[in-house]
Amino acid sequence: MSSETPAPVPEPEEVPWKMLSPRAPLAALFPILGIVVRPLLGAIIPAFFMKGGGLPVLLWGFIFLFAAVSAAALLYDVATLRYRVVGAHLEIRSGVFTKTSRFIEAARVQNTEVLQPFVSKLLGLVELKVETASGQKAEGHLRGLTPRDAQALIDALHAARGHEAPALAPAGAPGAAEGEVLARMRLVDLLRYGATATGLGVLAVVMGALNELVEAFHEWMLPWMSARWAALAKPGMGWASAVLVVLAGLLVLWLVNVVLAVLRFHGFRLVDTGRHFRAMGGLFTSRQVTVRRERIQQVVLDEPLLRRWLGFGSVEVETAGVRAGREPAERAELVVPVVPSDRMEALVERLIPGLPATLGALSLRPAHPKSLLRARIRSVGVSVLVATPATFLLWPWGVLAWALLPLQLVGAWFDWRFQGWLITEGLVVVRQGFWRRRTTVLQRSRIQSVKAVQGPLERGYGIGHVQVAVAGSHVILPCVSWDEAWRLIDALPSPRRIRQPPPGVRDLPGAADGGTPSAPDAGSIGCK
Amino acid sequence: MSDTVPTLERLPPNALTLFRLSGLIRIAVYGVLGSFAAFILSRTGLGGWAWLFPGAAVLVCGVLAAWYPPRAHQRWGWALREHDLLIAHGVLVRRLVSIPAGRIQHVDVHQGPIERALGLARLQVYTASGGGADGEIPGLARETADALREKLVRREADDVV
Repeated sequence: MSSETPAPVPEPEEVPWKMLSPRAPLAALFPILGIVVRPLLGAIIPAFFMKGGGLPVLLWGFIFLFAAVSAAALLYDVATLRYRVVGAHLEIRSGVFTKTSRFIEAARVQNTEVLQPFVSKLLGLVELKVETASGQKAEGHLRGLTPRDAQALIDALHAARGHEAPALAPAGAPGAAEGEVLARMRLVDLLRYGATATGLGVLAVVMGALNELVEAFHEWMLPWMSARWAALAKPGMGWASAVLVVLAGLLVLWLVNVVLAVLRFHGFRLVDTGRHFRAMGGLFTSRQVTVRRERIQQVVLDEPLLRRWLGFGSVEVETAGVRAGREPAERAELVVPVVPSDRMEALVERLIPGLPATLGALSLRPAHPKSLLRARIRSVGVSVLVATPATFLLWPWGVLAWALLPLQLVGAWFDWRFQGWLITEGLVVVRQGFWRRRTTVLQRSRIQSVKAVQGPLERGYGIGHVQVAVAGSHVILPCVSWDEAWRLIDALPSPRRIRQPPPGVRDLPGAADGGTPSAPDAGSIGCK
Repeated sequence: MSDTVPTLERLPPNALTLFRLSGLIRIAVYGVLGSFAAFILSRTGLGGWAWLFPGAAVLVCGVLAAWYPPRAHQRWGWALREHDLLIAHGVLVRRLVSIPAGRIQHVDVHQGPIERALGLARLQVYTASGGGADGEIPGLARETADALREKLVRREADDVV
């Protein structure tokens, strides 16, 4: 940022405020209803299933009144929201009872995201999210901008950082993309991506659907089965039914994953504009994420075994913006869902330059040999914890749970054998997992802190592990000896660039040497 | 251990008193909650057996409160070096944290009532990595905490977020 010259700062009173579109409350209605109703679901859903025995009418009245007032306040907040870019800041004013002014320094913006949910698309509006490194959600969230206003705001933020050129092509104008297209998804790519995804969220959706299916089964299938009981009770039909149920479950899982992949990434493109990487796509909700090149914290190559066999993997780009999500791909700011294995290195080189060799040819250092024993002990522990209660509770079929033990042991060996780490002049490369291989590349100059941790079991073997934190994320190196961990504490962060302390910082008596601690105060500060 | 290991500053002796008092307060809180639960359960037909679990829990916590604080006090250490702040702690799980100079976003100094009575303070160091304080040193002498905070915040910021 030292190279970025701030634009001349106008007087605040000279800069007019801008409002959201008059249709903004309409576009924000559904998201706001979601925000208001979601916390109440815990009370509403059980009451719904209790049918006659639910809450009294008066209480329902209070709940709906509370929801309606909350929604109305939020809608009024949207209708009265104003924003402007003054000098190097985006200023947003909002609030009904409590007026809030928020100042976001343009230079602190990690990424911007232009969303166009289905309703907004019908109204010809977009949402703009402006993220900094400070929290779990976007610091600036403007619902109901026209694409022109969103574009103007992004350009203004870009100009406030000292760049004259427009930052992006207008939202919703896919043909107008400027820059080199680095990746483009076809439907067949998304089908491959969805078909090989195994998300916990999807599993939760399928389990919920199964609950509904059981009710439908009792209503429709049970009479049909009772009429054909003689045929269905023949030997071997139990196994056939079990196999059919498993296959049906897998098919549903596969279908849900495919649909989710198409919804999220339809028409996906990744464009390098020179200063930014911009990803856009989405079927009903269009999403356009812009990440500044210099804000990339780490890049993760996600290559599960099945996808490796099919010759592709995914690339996740993380900035300092912190996102909530169950899956790593949900937490990443930018995801390229399908990247052919042979093009992965070129993409990583573009995102984080400086790899000394091709990814396959990198001579990664292996994990400490004693960490295999630790992994084996953990595998045995997990297997015993699962299989012992299963044996007693589900006798005799519960004995099958002991098959977990050899599987866990084999899995531990594979995970240990195929992990590795490497420190180059400017990068840290960490590879972990065999079944789900994840290779993390981060810049040493971005490291915020380094932590060496040694549990009791590790202490017995003289090993430990090292956690490297960058802004908004972290990566854990494979196990190393405890001495090596201590050395890494010193070796990992790259030397800092010297800069003068900010104005207004007062000098301490006897510490006029530029901030480097010299003689400790009263013998209490410093390394002896 | 390698020769790269620096000599760490240790916490003052009255930090041990702080650790012990904190442990006793924790036992008291758990004890009251456990006793309340046991009282409710004893009314449901379990009788005197309901007091067995909270009693055992308080006993174990009491033994831990006698055993743990001296070891924790012994393990806490820190060093402000030219290029980083180093913090070591942990009895069962040992941790060594290095926060490079220039990455520190802000530094907090906390003083609860017990710490105030003992003349101690808790120093918390935050970087841009998110998820709470990256480094924390409890039981520092108040003057040491203030001096350390001044030295940390006046270092040059790299702004590498």
